[in-house]
Amino acid sequence: MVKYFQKHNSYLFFIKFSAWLLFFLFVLEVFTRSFIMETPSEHFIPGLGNIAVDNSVTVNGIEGFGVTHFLANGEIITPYQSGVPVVVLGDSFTEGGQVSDNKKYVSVAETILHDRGVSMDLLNLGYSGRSLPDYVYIAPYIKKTYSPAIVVVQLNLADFVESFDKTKENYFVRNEMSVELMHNEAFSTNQLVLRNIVRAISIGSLVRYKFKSINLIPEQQLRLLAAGSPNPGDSVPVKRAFDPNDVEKQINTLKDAYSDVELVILIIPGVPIIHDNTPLLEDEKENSLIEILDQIPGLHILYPRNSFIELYTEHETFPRGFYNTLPGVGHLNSDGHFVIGAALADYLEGIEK
Amino acid sequence: MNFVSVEFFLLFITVLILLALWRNPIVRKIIILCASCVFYAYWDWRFLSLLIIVTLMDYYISVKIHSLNDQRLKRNWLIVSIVINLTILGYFKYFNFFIDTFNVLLKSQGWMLHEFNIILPVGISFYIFETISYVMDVYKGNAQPANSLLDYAVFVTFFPRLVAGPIMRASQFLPQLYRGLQFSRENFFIGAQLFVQGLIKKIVVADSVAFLVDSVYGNPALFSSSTVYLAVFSYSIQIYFDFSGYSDMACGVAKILGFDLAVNFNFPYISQSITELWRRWHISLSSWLRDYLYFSLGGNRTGRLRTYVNLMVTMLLGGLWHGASWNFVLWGGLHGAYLVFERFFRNRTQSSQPSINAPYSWFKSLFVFFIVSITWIFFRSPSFYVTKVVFYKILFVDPSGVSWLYFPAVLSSIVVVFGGLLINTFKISFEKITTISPFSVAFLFSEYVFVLLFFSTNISPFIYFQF
Repeated sequence: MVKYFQKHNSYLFFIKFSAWLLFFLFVLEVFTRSFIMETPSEHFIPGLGNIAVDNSVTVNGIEGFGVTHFLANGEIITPYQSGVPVVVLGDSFTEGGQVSDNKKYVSVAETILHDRGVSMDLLNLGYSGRSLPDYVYIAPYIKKTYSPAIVVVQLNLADFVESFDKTKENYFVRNEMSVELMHNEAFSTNQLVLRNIVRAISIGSLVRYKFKSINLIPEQQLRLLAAGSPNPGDSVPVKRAFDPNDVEKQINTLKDAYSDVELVILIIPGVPIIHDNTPLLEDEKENSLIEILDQIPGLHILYPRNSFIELYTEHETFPRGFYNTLPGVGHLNSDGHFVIGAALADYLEGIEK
Repeated sequence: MNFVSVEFFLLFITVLILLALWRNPIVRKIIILCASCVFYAYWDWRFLSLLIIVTLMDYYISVKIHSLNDQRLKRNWLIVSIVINLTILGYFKYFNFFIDTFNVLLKSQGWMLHEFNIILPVGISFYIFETISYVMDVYKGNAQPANSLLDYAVFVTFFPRLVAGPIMRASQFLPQLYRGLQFSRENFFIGAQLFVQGLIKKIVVADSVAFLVDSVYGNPALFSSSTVYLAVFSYSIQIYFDFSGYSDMACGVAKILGFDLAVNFNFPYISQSITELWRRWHISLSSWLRDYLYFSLGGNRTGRLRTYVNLMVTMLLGGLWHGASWNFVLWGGLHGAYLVFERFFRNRTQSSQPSINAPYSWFKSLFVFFIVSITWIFFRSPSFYVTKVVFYKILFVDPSGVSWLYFPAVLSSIVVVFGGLLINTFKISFEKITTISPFSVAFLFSEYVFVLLFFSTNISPFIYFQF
């Protein structure tokens, strides 16, 4: 009898404990979802790949704070929905999850153009994780769905390096004279359900993100610190293998994919940037990239480096970094988006004229 | 080994299982001693020998002192112990500092000495102070020698407080050891709460704030005056949360094993004077300095002027204890000067009671926080050059630069400073929950989830590990 009650009580304890725990976890989930991280569920669209489901929302409070609203085809909402269709493709810089929808550079450019009486409907199809091979892969879908007059493809130095990563959904393989697009069909659907389950619980996603981005100070550095070496926060720069010979091949493949539309390449400047607590205003690799791109005929290149440098030298503001991350590092903040948006508006207006 | 590591978690679980399996007190002490050795040797096994030498030497010297009747001989053995301990500490911690200083002073004469490649053994300042206090207590008759070498070895090497304190007296620790390990659900529950409280302080608050502090002190010239001010205040938050977080974790681990460690912090930033601050900040060190250094120098019983000198000497050496650098000496000297200043005016006004008038006490607490934060600049700066640039910024000599009002630092500063003032005004006390209920267990569990969610990804070593 005593054993029965003891057992009964422990069950009751466990049930009450579980109820309280679920309550606390629910509170944490609501807080996380509202202020820190909410990732949208994805669905697979043939020809477009995995993309945020229609009318879904992303909340990003880890780097800056922004709420992004997705429409059909992963299109991000912009202030105007009329005019000549201009598709803007890009990665997380174009998605701009770190700022609100109307501060993303595509929205800024569209607003400036409409204020100037230029009727262009800029369609923001930026999506985090996309790279150059993805833009080639989705070209037929984009042309068929939107019939754009102009396609803006936002790139940065990393795009030309990551294109050959075989673990991605789309990637390039080097040939003698060109690069060939490869599509990993299984990748698109295999992990989708699993990823959506993880994405559905924000506290799970946040823990996963935290452990992925953890920056442990190695034991070696601890010893140096003990020996009097200052600044434990110094990071070791990662060497990236940038091959200038690949640039032209990749751009030609992109040009072929969008042969019947006006193609604008927007390069997000990598400078000014903070490295080892020092602002860097020059990036030799990026300079060589721009030199190569300038030599490719029939290509519109937009590279607002000078505006970025001016932002720092004249206004002591970096185009990257937020109130909760290091200035000069990471994604574009609202100042960076504004500079890019203004430059894009000028450029598109010039093309239109 | 760091408390915030998988290795420590595995070690601790193993220790708990072994202690649960063996109930013989001697076997349990051996288990704790072995765990402490593993804990220490994981960092660098070579320095375990140093720990063993210090332990053996001080144990046998204390036994010898206790057995002697001749006061003069007792005193000689005490001096031998202190000299050897301080020589070990001096060699590992201050040798290169003296060579550096020597080189600076005699550079013009063309003299130059080469520095040695000496690694500072983790925790040396803490366990040397513990062994010195033990021998002095035995000498003065304030404590009996440990019952056995095993007991003394457990006292010196007890892993929860081996590398960064709290600095314990033998008279506080040994009776708990003789009583035996006391496992209980209540101890486990309170210990787990203390540990998670320390985790939150360290890896959620201190490490988040460290991101700003490390960046600004890495290149203060890059940032605006407002940002540098924020970094200066944030370092006050960082060092408090880092060290008190470590102390809480150490107390939590010890509590699970059934030991009560000394309280190290008692809301230092609500202090209304620097004197009060030192009664609330790193209490185990400040009380050690008071009992074994300040009182040994004569304390305040040798005249007013001598009292001031004693205060200055104590604080200068206290500064030097933190690190082999003139910045630390300067930091200690400034605190000594503040204490002398306060004592001088306290003598004049004969008023040492803290004010209970809320606005005035808030003003005093804020002023003390400001002074302490400014003084921390010397402590945190890696060089005099950085100290100079930081002062240029906060004195608006060069106010330009990038403004970065780093949100976690702003939030922490506001919460800590104004939270402290409210705690002080309304006399709020925080007690650990001792009743095990579904609510309290679920709440504790949720706190661990909170840590998993909001820890800073820039994990840095505990600041006091370097001392």
